[in-house]
Amino acid sequence: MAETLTASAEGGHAAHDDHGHETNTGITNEKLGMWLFLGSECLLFGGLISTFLLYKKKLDTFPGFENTTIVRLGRNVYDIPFTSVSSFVLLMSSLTMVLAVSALTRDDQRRMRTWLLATVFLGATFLAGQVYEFTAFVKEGLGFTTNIFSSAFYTLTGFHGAHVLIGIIILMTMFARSLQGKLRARNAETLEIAGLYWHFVDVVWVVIFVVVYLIK
Amino acid sequence: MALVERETLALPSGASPGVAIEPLGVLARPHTKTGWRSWVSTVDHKKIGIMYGAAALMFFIVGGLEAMLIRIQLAQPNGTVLSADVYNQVYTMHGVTMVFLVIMPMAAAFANYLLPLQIGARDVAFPRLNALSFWMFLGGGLFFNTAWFVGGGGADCGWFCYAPNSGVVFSPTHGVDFYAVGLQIAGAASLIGAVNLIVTVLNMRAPGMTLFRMPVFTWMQLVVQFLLLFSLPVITVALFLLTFDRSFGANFFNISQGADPLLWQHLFWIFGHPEVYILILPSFGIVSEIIPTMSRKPIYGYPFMVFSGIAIGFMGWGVWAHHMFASGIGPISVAAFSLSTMFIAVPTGVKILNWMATMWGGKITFNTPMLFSAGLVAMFTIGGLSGVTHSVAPADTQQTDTYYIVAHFHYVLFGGALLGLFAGMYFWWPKAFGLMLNDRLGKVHFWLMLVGFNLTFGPMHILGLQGMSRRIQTYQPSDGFTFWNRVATFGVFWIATGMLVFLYNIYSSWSSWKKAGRPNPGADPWDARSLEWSIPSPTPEHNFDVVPEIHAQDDFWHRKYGEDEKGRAVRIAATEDVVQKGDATDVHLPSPSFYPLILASALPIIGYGVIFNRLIAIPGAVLFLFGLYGWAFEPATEPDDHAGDGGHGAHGGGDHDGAALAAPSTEEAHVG
Amino acid sequence: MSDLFNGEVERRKMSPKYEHLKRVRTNVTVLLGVFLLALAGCGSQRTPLTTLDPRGEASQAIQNLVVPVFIVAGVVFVFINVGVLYVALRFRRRKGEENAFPEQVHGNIKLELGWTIIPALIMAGIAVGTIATLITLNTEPDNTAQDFEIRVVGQQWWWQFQYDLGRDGTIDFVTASEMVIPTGTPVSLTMTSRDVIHSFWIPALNGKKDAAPGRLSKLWMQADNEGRFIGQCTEFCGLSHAYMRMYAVAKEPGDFQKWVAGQLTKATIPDAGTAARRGLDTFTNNCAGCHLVDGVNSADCTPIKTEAQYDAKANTCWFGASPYTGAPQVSGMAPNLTHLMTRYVFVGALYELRNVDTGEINVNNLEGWIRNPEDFKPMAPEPTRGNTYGRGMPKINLTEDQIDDLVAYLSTLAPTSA
Repeated sequence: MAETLTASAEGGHAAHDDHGHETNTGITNEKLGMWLFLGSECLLFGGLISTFLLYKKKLDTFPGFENTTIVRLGRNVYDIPFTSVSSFVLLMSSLTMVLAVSALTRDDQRRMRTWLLATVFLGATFLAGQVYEFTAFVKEGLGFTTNIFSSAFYTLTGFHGAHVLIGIIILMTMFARSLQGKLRARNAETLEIAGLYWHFVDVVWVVIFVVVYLIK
Repeated sequence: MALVERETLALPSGASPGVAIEPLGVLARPHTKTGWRSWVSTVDHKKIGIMYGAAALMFFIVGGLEAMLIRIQLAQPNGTVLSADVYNQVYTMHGVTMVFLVIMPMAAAFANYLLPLQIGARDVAFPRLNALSFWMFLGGGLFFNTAWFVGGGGADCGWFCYAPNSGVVFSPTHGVDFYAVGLQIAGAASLIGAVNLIVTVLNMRAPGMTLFRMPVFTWMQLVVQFLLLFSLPVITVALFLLTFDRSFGANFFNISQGADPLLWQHLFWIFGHPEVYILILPSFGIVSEIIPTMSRKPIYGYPFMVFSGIAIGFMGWGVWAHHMFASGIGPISVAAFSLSTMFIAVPTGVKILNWMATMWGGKITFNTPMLFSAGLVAMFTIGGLSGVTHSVAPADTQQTDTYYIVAHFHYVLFGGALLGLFAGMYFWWPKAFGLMLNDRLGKVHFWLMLVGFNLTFGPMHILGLQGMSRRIQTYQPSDGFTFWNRVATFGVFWIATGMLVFLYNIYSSWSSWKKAGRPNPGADPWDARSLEWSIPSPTPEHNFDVVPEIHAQDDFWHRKYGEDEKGRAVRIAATEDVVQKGDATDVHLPSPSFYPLILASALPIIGYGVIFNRLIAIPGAVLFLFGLYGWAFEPATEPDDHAGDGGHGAHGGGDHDGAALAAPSTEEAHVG
Repeated sequence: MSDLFNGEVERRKMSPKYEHLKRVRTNVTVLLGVFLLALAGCGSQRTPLTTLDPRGEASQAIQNLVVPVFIVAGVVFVFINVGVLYVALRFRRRKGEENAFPEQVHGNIKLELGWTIIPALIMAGIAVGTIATLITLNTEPDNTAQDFEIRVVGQQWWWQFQYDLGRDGTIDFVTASEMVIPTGTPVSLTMTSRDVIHSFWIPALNGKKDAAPGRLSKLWMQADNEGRFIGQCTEFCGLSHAYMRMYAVAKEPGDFQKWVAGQLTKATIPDAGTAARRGLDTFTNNCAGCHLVDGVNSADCTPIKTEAQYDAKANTCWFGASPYTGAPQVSGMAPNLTHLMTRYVFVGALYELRNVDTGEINVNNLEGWIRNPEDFKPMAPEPTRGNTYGRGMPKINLTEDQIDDLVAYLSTLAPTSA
């Protein structure tokens, strides 16, 4: 076993100099880190969605509250067509995100910037829709503090909205970098990681849309 | 492969990372290697580990003093040392401090220091995020404790802070706000740390270091980090709901609006039970390193040790409601959680028996680390068995929320986790500081602790069965609790004396080591088995001169020893010949940075803003953005940091920019 | 890799060192003996809250399960701890063994499987008993009293017991601090709370069950013999948690019926001109906002001071609409005093109101409590953030004369037949 020292010395240097790009899993640290973080986020949204479902149900059975304005407010404020459209917009942004990453791997800067901007625009449209929706609800009298349903509703959708906002900021940073010429094909993975986050946020919205808006 | 050297992500290597920082030009890159600057700006996992340990020790003293106050108050019936109000604060702060600010960070100290060393890496995957984790933990912990001074008193709702007693109506001071926000910050810190350490272990192992050659400690820490990764978001949700209720008038725990008081309990314990294993598994890992080393035998049943740890990790998710047997959750749930709880005892038992089998037939050196380890095996067993009696749900309805359960979790967390952590401190002290702690004082420390611990918490079993409810500020002479409470209070002074001996040991070992001309204990003072002992003590900044190639489990041991025909270990190489010298000069390391500290210090300020006045949050937010911006534009590794390493233009720069990228999302998500 | 436990056993000689060990062992034995004596000595001390002295079916069922579990746990405890000691002593490295190395045993699959399966089997055995007992405890016995049930309501920091005669959902009378039950008959209890989570626990009769606001939880209790069984709130409920106690009082069925009949009567108005009558005026002016006396105030049973329900209790209006509908005697904030003098304890069941043997009223306690409640237990009667009304009995600043009158009045609060 004495020879291992030399062997390892070589191995060490080899890893240091030549195989530096490889990791044990073959996935880069950054991407693996993002996957793990998203796994954690699943439980964050899981907790929020469970809370919402519990309180949505609770409001129906709460003694003395069955037919109060509060309950009606909690049930009838949704504008399903409107939210469907904004959901569609958000889903489309996943497509444009994919196109942006694919353009970057070809180092097609022009298309990449176009799709990146489109993604940001679609995300921002979705956010604007959410702001509009919140305003409309508040006008109807359903504020954050109105009842357990409204608190759970605003918290869940608000957390999601905050995630979209962070995504937009990340994508705009990417865009700025590409304008500086610092986002090239060889670091396409950076955009891919940002894309992972973006897709996750979109998928979560699908779940939220079903749970909050569609399920009676 | 040491640091994963790769092309930069956000900062193309050619495009002069130097230029990227210049426009910022606010904070000069720190370069000092000594003095306080080198500590506050460090991204070295070893310095961070040491700081975790020091901070945890500081909080241990705070939490310990709180514990002594509790015991003094309860030394006699109708105690008047503390008022009910102050008592409720003291026991809450004691519990939260010990769980979140002592045992967790102490375990994080070992994880940070040792994981890269045990897998043959030069640092963690994201060194700056690592620094951020530490500063956030420290910030969160200090913030939480400032409730004493600016919050109108500490939190007074118990460490699990059941709703609706945690609401503004029932807890009108700001203590609970500090609990919610402080734990939020510390929790986010642990989450970032978990991502970091998992990536490190999965991605940065030395050549040949397959998962099933990793030391048991690394395995246990890996399980712990996964538990953290998936359990922390749940408490994050719970704490957000609490903060929204208290600070923004939400209704999550407003019963009059129909809120369900069990929501908090479920959220808390879905986090809280994995948390129990988060607290204990690191110590299981530590003794799994010490017992084989001191017995001069390999760990018995390595695969079973690993798989039982993984099994505990998985099963830990299915037992949370055993904290709620008396909550009225329905007999089916009670039965299911009762059974799952019983069966989690099986993998735990496997571990205990494997430790005993490791010792069996060994040549055991009973020095301080080994004493603490054996102490853990014996004491944790008691806690585990009282845990089994709790899993019997009908019995639990008599025992829960009495001192019996106080005894139980102190046997688990003190007799288990803390004894293991002390064992680890004595064991790895020479590796971290290049000097040995005095073994004789260490033994005195151990016996004082062991006797004091049993005097303090042993009687609590009896008190609990005699019906003494937990969290009561006092009791009546007619209750018959006086005698055993006196014994318990007597015991706490033994523990305190033990701690003084420990602190004195640190001091005297250091000063005598200095007087004796700083003799070096050598790379491998215990004749140990894992990779960290193959490099000099204290660990050089770059860890490994050359990254070792691994051929077996306990690779380092096998470089020193072969086996004769009877299976006995036979030395095949002198230790000096197989250890590294630590004199490599061309290792490229990530550069220090002030930004983790800046970013982390913004969070408590935002926290004060949430609690007191939104205006306070503004400077916090500004600082936060400044930290984030500076971070993102500062390359993780300064190109000219190491003279003589010419070729790193290609692999310098932001090999951790992905980390910088991940940071904002993590941050924002948890700060809201 | 030889089998660990069948391996060559090193024979140890009686060395001087071993003699020394023997001495140590003697010392340990002596110490243990002293310890056990001390333990026994303290066992004789009365511990009324003990969990190990069951006095009813439910607690007996728990005890029958706990004892074997403790025995199993005790055996494992001895096995492991003696094992650790044995291994430590036998395999410690001795002088001259500095360079000795043991056989490098890596493991043994059979052993591993063995110590996985055997504990699992032990656990399975415990599980069977656990499930059986769970079913017992969660099923009301067939002979459960059908003519009444008790709703147990926790409130910071005392217990209210609402009696529903006929189990028809209407409350017929309420009492506080002392829950009276007939002997021999299992009684059905339903728990809830008006503010935070409390936990109802009479160790001699059954395990604990949380009383959570907005939820109902069930428990049954049966007492074999007459007696007063003390209990304690065991879920931390704020400032005065330690002082939140209660008694289950078991009476012979005949006495119980008599007690019920007495509770159903209304309080009488004292004759004009007496101290008690002046006390009634004091009561009406100073106390009736929170305390009810049936037949004196709120005969129509509307809460006197609806606003005086603190926030978490708009609750009380909520509870008014809940299964507690028509609980006329529910006062928002304080115990119903209609038949105060049928109770022996007050102030969270912590202080003597009347001597249990003689029935004599403890005037000192009663006066002291009225004079300065905070001397008796910590409370928060002043308004605080988010809470307009505070929690607990405020200091009302009565003159000594008023206090005397009030005590005179309160002393009359017992059914005439009792």
